[in-house]
Parts: sequence; structure tokens; C-alpha cells
Amino acid sequence: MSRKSYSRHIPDFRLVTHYAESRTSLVHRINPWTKAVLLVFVILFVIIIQDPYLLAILLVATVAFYAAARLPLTLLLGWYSLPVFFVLTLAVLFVFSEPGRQLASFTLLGTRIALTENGALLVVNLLMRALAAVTFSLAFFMTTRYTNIAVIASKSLPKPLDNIFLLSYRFTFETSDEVADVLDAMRSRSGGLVKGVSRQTKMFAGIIGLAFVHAFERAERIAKAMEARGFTGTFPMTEKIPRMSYGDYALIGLVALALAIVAYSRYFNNLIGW
Amino acid sequence: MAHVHLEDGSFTLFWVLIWSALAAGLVSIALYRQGRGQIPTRKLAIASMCVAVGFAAFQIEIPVFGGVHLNLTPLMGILVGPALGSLSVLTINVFSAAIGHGGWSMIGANTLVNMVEVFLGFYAYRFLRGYAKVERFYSGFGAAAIALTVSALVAVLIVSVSEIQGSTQTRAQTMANMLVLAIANIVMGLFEGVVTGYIVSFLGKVRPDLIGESAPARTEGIEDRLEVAADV
Amino acid sequence: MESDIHHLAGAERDDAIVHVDCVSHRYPDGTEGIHNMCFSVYPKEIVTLCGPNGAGKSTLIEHINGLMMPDKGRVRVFGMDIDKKNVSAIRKLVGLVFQDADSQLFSPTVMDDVMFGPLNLGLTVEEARKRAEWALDVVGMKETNKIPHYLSGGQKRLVAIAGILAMKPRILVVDEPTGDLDPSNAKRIEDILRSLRDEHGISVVIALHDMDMAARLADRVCIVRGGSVIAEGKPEDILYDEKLLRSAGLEMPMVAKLFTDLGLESRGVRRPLSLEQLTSLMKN
Repeated sequence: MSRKSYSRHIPDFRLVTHYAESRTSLVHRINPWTKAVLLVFVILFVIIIQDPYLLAILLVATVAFYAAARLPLTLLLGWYSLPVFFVLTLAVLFVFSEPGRQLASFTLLGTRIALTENGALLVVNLLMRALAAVTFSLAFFMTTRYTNIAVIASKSLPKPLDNIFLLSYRFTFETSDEVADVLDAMRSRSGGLVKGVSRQTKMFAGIIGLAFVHAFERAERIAKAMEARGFTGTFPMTEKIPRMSYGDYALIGLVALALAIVAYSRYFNNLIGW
Repeated sequence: MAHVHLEDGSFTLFWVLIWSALAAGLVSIALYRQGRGQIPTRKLAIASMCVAVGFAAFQIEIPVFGGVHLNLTPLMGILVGPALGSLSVLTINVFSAAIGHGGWSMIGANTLVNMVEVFLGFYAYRFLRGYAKVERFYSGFGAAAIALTVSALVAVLIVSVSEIQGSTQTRAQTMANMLVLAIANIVMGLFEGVVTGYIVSFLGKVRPDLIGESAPARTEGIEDRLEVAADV
Repeated sequence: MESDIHHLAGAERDDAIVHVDCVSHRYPDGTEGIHNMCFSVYPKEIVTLCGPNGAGKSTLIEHINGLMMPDKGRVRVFGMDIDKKNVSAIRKLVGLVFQDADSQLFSPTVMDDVMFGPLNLGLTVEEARKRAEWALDVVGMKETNKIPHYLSGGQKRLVAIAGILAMKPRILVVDEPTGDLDPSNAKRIEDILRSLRDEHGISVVIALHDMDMAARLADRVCIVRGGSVIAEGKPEDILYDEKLLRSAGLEMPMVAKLFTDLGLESRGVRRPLSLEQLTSLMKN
């Protein structure tokens, strides 16, 4: 069981893996390759769909997928913080500068600033796109076992990126634990009560610096262990993902068809009244 | 935040493919520099641990200014060099996309921005510390500040050229908006510069070999080592 | 510092399968790792390298496996001088288990990790799987589909040992095998190391500073100080030499202290090497 994440706003891979390893649901039982393909389709939907109603349906569908996996929605809401923050930091100015019908306006330092309909719609669309992608991505990782993720990564990433991914994925748990331990040790010595920007910054810089030192030392040990066991450039994987069933192909086919219609509507001939 | 992280759907499919192809090309160059796609085991381990710790370090919230998270990509450039650093930031972006810190389709664009940080972080530090003999803290600060300022402007360029999907503004208007954001990012970049400066000072005391300031102790294989006399 | 090895084990043998011949190694930062180190390993024995932290034990064992090359001297393994050309062949014969078990488990599952070595040796997947199953059976590890992060400390150590065993080495070198384990897991590891010698004919080299464990396990004890072996011999001789042990920054094992403090030394009885032997002695 992974430890409590030290941030409610940033998904922790230890917690993500815990849900993947220890829970069961219909979604957990879906073939990992099927879920991976669906993730790609969701990303494509997110990019291609322009209609806000369709985007809303997409978002609802991804949240339903997440909920069907019996994953905690409160956790998801907390984890929405990052993508919401990123979208808002990107689009906050667009809300006031997009041409279009004004919804509200105010004066700031002698300048008239107006919130426009197009601006608000832009932000809402960007948020729905981002959240749909994030929701499905988290659902995928929280319902797919670690070993299956490793197999998918080894088959879909080019060498040696697959090795970097596999090795870093493996050790991200230990590194996160180490950093959490150091933070706990700091807090237990009232480190959290240190006042002053400079002192706080120096203290945390020391923690981060120490984390890098440990990382390099661990890298030394790992390299030696790999060399001692004759590493030749490939991590063997015994886990096999079963072939996709007809049901999986049918599901993928249906979603692909929907994607094709949406893409055709966007780029060629509006079939769905865009 | 010290970076602009773009979420899925920000760009059209065309620009997603363009930036992805460009990032793939630069990563291929980085891979070629590491030995034609075959990374030595030690470098593989170092790159992987950089990813793991960079990811873990991002989760640390520094309780100043309401809470700040850093990416430390210029620091990675200082520690492992531009080629290995590029591979590391690409992998970090893959992990990040998985948890919603940047989009899957934005991995290309985000990686380009991060590669600028890694590249400039390394060369700026090398110049400041190695050539100009500036103190460690100021070298680290300067390298990170330069890297993050330039990368903020690169992000402005990328977003301005691609335009935000759904926006009806012109490129010039988009650029004007993005420049306002860039200023905010540059200010945060200065803070990250301070943190980087402190980290580099710390490393200089405990493991100077990691920042290339003495002969490597049992760390053969770390690329592009600086040849700087130890600062006593 | 010239080594001044006290041989307390009778005449030297000529059947060494590993011979570290006056090896010196200095790290790039100037630190001397080992100096004029002379050390041998013989067939079907458990030999312990005892010394405090920084004595040079880890540096020595990394030379035996070819992870480090000597600056001076040579290391012979089964008659071959280790060099860059034959280091792969050497690593098939000499398996090394590091102190930090975590850093040796880099595959997604236990089975994947134990198969790692055999697959790198060129075995087919089926052959590697059989080897891995055998090795996991030897160490008694049944949870083969678990991911390494979810293993306990003891389980990680067992899997690390299995990962090396699966390569069928003739010599197993282990660095601090029980350092951070609870007593029950520590005993399990000790039993496994003993069985490797007795049932599988593997010579075991153990680097440690736990003198009680050395007493229980070793056929031969080498004391390491300042980068050299300063004494070697039978455990009942070396581990009862308080002056020697103190000079190396070590303590007598508990059984030796008790035996000596109880005045049993003067009765001419055989020196016990475990608390069970001491108890049996006292009952009789």
C-alpha cells in the first residue's frame, strides 16, 4: 500500500499504482491494449472536437469511465487542480481579449476590460478538453497493472527511451518515498515552522539537492548491479498481455467510427451540424 | 510555475504533429550523441534516476509565495548535460502527461521548451562557472534564470505560431497575451534560479563532482564534465 | 601500508578458485580503496571479510567480480586473470549481491528480475524461466508476480540473491546480507547461504561487520583494515583474538565474550562459535 501522497493536488504514482494493483472492476478487466488505444482516441477527440456540447459529452463519458472503475471522485477533483491551473494561466487573458459579444465589463486603471462570450467559451472548451484527457489518462493508469504498463511502454517506445521509462518508472516509488521521508524528518524537527522566504528556500533547496545526490548514488549502484548481471540493453518481461477479444475490437471499432465521423465533419464535410 | 505547460486540445492536430516531429528530431540527435541509440548502462541509470528525482522533486511544495513547485530542468542540464538531459525531460513529460501535468499531444511542444531549458542551463552554467569564474550560487542562479527566461519566450513563440485552438485572435494578439504570461513565468523563473543557485551551492559542498568541479569519484561516464578547479 | 597477514589457519593451500594477488586500487578522487590486498577463495567454503565501514571490503568484492579493475596486482578467477575481454565470462562464475537490495531489483516483477541474468547470458526464455523458478525455490520466495516496490526488506534480499543464483555462479559474493533485516529474515538468509555451500557446492564470500554472524557461518575469517587483509584463519582463532579485533575496529562476537568471561577458556574445551554450542557445552 503506498503512503499518503504529500500533495492533494498532484497525482502520486504510488497511489495510482495502488489502485491499479489492489482494486477490481469492469474497467480493470478491460484489456490494457484496448484502454491504451481508447486513450489515444480520447486525445484525438479532444483535439478534433470543436463543439462545446460534444466536448461536454466527451468529458461526462470519461468521468463515467473513471467512476465505472470504482475510483474515488473526490481524489479526481483534487487532481484536477493542475490541469485547471495550466489552462487558466494560459487562457486567463484570452477571456478578456477575445473578440465577440461582451458579457460583463469593468474598468481597471482607466482601461475598460470586458469579459467576452467567445473568451469565456474558449476557456470552457479548453478546460473540458484538458479535463477529459486527464480523466481518461488517470483512469487508464489507475486500472492497469504496473507490469502491463511496462509491457505497453516497452512495445510502444523506441529504444532506449523504453529503458529509461522502465527504469525510472521502477524507481520513482523509492525516490518518492525517500523524499517523503526527508520531508517528514524535517517536519518532525519543526522544520515547517521556519520563517522567512530565504530560510525556507535554502532548506528546501537542501532537500532537493540531497534527493539528487541520492539519485546519482542510486544510479551508480543500479548500473553496477546491471553490469554485474550482464545487462545487454533489454529488460526482459515475462508478463504477456492477452490478445484483444472480439468485444475489445468491437469497442475500438465503434469509437474509431465515431472519431472518423467527427474528423470528417471537422475537416471535410459537416455531417453533424458543427 | 516556472514553465508554460500546455494541456491537450490547446493546439490543432497540424501543430501537434509539427512540434512532435521537431521534438522527435532533436531527441534523435540527442540519442545519436549518446552512442547511436545505445546508451551506456551508467548513463541509462543516471538519466532514469534524474527522471525519478525530477518527478519526485516536483511534488515538493516550497511554502513561499503561496506554494511553489519547480521543474528543475536547468539543474538537470547542469548535472547531466544537454543530450542526456533532453532524454530525461522527454521521459518526464511522458510521466507528467499521464497525471495531467501537460497533455499527451503536447509532449512534443513541452519537450521543446524543456530542451531549451536543459541546453541553456548547461551551457550558461559552463560559461559562468567555467569561463567567467563566477561563484557557484550566482552561476546556478544565472544559468537557470537565463534558461527559464529564454524558454518562456520560446513558449510564447510556440503558442503564438500555433495559436490557441478556438481562439479568433490574430497571431499578434495571441503573442501580446502570451508575453504578459511570459513575464509572470520569468518572475517565477527568477525564483527557481535562486533555488537552483542554492542547490548548486549545496552540491558543490557535498558532491562537487556532480557539478563537474573535481575529478569524478566513481561516476565515470557522466557526459560533458566541466574542467573547473575546485572552489575551496 | 604493507600488509602483514597473520595466517592462523595452518599452511596455505594451492587450490584457490579466486586469488587476489597484491591488488591496489585508488579512486579517481585520490582515496585509496585497497592496498596490497591479498585474498583467496577456496572451493565449497564460506569465507567472511570482517571489517568496519570504509575498511575496503566492498572495494575488494567489486574487484572479484570485475566491476573494478586493479591499478596494481592481478585478480585470478578459476585460473583467468580478469581483464576487460573476459569480464563477461568472469561474471558468469562470480555473482555479486550488493548491500542495497532495492537497487538490484529493476524489473517489473520478481520473476522478470530473476530471469534478467539468465536472459542476458543468452538462455532462451523457457530455460531462463526454469532457472528463475529453481533459484526462487532455493530461497523460498513464492510471490513471483509481485512488483519489487511491494516486497518487504527481507523479500527484496531473497529476490536479489535469487537473481544471482539463477546465473548459476560458482562463487557468490554478498555484501552485508542481513544488515537491515529482522532476526527471522536474517536467520533465513544465513540458512540459505549455508545450504548454498553444503547442497550446491557454491563458495560464498560475505562482507560484514556482524561478528556473531561470522562466527556462526564462516569456515574462514579474514580481517580487513585500511584496505588490506591483516589476518585470516579459522573463526575459533580469529574471533577470539580480542586484541586483533579491536585493532581493526571490531568487537568480539557475543559467544566469544561469554565463553571468555565465564572462564571456560582455561578449561581447554573447544571454543564455541554459536550460542547453541556454548549452551550445549555448559550443559555438558
